[in-house]
Amino acid sequence: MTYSENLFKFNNSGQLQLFHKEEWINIRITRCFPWTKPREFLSFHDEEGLEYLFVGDISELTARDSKMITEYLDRIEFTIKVVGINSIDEDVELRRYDVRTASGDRVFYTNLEDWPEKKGNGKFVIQDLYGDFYEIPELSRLERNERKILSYLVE
Amino acid sequence: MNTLIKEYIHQEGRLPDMIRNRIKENIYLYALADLDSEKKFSESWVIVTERCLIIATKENIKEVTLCSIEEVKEVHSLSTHSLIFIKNHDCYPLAEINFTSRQKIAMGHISYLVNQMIKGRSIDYLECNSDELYQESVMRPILEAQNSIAKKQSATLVRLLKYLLPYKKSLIWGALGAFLATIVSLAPAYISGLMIDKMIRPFQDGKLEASEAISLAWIALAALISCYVLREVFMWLRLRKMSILGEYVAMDLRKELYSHLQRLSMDFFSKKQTGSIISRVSSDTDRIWDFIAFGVVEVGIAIITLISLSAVLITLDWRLGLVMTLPVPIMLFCIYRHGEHMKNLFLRGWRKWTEVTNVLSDTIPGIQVVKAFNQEEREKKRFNERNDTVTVEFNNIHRSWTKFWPALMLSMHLTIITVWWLAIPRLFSESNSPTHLSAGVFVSFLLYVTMFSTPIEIIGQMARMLNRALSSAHRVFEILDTNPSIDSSKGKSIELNVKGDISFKRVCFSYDGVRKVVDQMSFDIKAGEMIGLVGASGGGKSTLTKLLTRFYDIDSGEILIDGMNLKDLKLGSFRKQVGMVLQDPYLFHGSIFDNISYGMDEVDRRKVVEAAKIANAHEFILRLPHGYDTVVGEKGHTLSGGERQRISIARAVLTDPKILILDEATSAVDTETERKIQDALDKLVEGRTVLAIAHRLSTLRKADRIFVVEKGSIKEKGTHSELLAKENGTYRKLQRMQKEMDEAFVV
Ligand SMILES: Nc1ncnc2c1ncn2[C@@H]1O[C@H](COP(=O)(O)OP(=O)(O)O)[C@@H](O)[C@H]1O
Ligand SMILES: [Mg+2]
Repeated sequence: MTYSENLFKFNNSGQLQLFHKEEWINIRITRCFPWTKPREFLSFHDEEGLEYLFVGDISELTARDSKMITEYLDRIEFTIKVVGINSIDEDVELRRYDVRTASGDRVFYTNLEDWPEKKGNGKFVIQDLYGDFYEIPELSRLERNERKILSYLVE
Repeated sequence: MNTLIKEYIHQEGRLPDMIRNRIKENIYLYALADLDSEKKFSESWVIVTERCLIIATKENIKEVTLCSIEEVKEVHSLSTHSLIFIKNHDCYPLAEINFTSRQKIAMGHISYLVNQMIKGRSIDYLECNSDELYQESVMRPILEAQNSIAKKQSATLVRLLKYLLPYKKSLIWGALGAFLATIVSLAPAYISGLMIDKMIRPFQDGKLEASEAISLAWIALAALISCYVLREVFMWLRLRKMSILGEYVAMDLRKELYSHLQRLSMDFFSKKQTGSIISRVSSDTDRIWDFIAFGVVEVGIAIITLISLSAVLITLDWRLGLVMTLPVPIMLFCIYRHGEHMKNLFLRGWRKWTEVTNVLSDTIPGIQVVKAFNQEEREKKRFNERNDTVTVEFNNIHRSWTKFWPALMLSMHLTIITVWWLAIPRLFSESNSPTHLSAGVFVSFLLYVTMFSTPIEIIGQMARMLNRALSSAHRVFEILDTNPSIDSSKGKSIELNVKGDISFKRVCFSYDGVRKVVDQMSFDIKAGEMIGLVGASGGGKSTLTKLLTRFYDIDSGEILIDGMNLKDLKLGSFRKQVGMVLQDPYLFHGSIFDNISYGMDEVDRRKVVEAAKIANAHEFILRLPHGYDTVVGEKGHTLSGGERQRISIARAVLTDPKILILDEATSAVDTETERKIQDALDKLVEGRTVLAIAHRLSTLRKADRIFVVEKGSIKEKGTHSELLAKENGTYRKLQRMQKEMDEAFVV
């Protein structure tokens, strides 16, 4: 199914809205497969969870809408992107990561039994104790000694 | 706390004075916004005062008056969260702040407070210290993972060693045995050298009579024998004293741990995994035993041996002695490095290993599903794949250590060869030359050299052993240092004969500090009243009952029992007067009789049977092969949900509680059983204050009043008919839906 009309807009307070039955409705997006198919299977629903629109693939929307929604998703799906690793140490019950990220330097902690998880596209993701997600690039994008530090945890 | 926050997460431990000084008004609450609009880490502070919301960075300050804010919107996505302060939906927001999950709890407080303030409600936060609230919020996840923040390792060691103090005597004997055994084991090599230089050589040179030489040799032999015997006696002393001592220490720790665990509150157990708690009591204390029984002494002996060996070697012959001892530090360093490398390999091996065991713990309990979907082949493949990778990993580990130790030994042999190489010219030199080496000295020397390798190995592994023992000790102390969040020894601890009046006054509660599961709830229940709690699941009904029984302490507000604050009551005696029948009751390993009378000191068997009869359990119990003696619980006879339910009802009947809580007591059983349980419950509720949670409204027909609980607050309350009379009422809607369902089935 493809859509021929633009369905979305942002209102003045920056809220995404969907045109539905002659009305603009405040809308939220939930991705069915946030890690494996981030641009497909999107559910558009209101605060209560009532679904107004379900899109199998973002390209089914009009070009303008699909651009707008892609940008919007880019904004909300932000994860902290690791670009370099200074050290990874073990403390009692905790593993401590000292990393450089696209957003700045950061120290974070995970449980000892949590490992970076491999997602499609070769990247790794790990969630820290607070619930923040850190995205670690493919090993080949890291320096040699950084690869070594990480290899015990991911390979 | 302040410095911990800096040390752990590199973030300010409190609002910087520089900003604080620029704010005139009293600060109610603040939090850190650690992302800017570009999603870069930054530092700006969000501060709530009496009239304003202030967003301050080190450079500038932006104020928004609270009365201009109409709504606070929270937007959550994977790693970032925003609070948006809106004046009017058609214009640009007044302010938008972004932060990571790290600040979520603190920001949750801000959002809640601002919301309450703009709605003109009174606020309980104002009593709190803003610094403490901020620090608690930010450190909470770390403190939960690591209850007592890692102290210095030396402090942990000292604390562990303190457990040895009650056994000072054994310790002294054990250490003495170890020390003497070490010293004595140095003697045989010396005696052997002596025999060569003072008896064999002089005899061969004809300087000594045969008979004299032989008698001297017998003496030497006797000395040798006594050395060996003494050594083993001392060894026995040490092993025996230390292993028994270690067992006592481990026992003390286990005892202390278990009794401390019993004092800890529910939130501790819901945060920690059961397995982790169990392993602290079992394997961690075992490791500590190992360390005390062998580790401490082993390392001590190794150090003494190595030092005294080096000293002996150097005094025997300083040139050869130096050749032998100088490489030792290098070897020790190599062993240490190797240990670190192995640690990483083991980490990886362990990770792969958990993947294997995960398959097992996944499929074996779910074997029925596997078979039903005919997935045996796939599961086999999945298991084999992981089994293969773990084997590769373990073989890597083996390759590494099997390479290392022979290489180390080879270098040891090389030093010995060097010793020979240097010794040969000196052995064959003139006996009066200054560098001459006598055969006896050289033999002693070689014998000492063979004693060299073991202590080196032990010292090389010391770091790892110490680390392991200390982290076990730490995990144990961590539990011992956790304070029960509900401390019944504090407060007034009044013994109360409960009548059964309950009242909640603006009670707030949250499990995680973020989401209010109970939000400003207030109600009164009179003694003897039966209250039905209904509403969608997740609404907070069960939580309400947990607060009433004080499994969790409320965040703000008050719970009164017969007009007295719940916190002032003696917990144990209060809980005894509250009965609970839960949806999925837990039976301990033991007989049915034990399970019904659990928690009672002395029970009249007739009363137990009586209770079982009231609970409609008597019949089915008698149908079991061993009657009331049937063993149930893990590994015992398996009872169905409805049967276990009736046993737990019998339990409640027997304790004769003043307040009774029924949490979906009939939801997991078939209609026939439900009727029996319902019948039992009807008998049970007479004359008690009852809080009954049910999603089948028909089971609440006896309730005096019904509370509809939704999203942490009470949406409707009143009698059955009052609630039905409400147009658009939730209860009415529920009632209608259930009726339709029932009718659909009747056909
Ligand atoms: N031990 C717990 N830790 C954290 N959250 C919990 C815990 N128990 C319940 N909750 C959460 O609290 C909310 C209310 O749960 P509960 O009181 O069990 O609801 P109900 O009994 O009405 O179905 C749910 O969203 C649930 O996820
Ligand atoms: Mg419940």
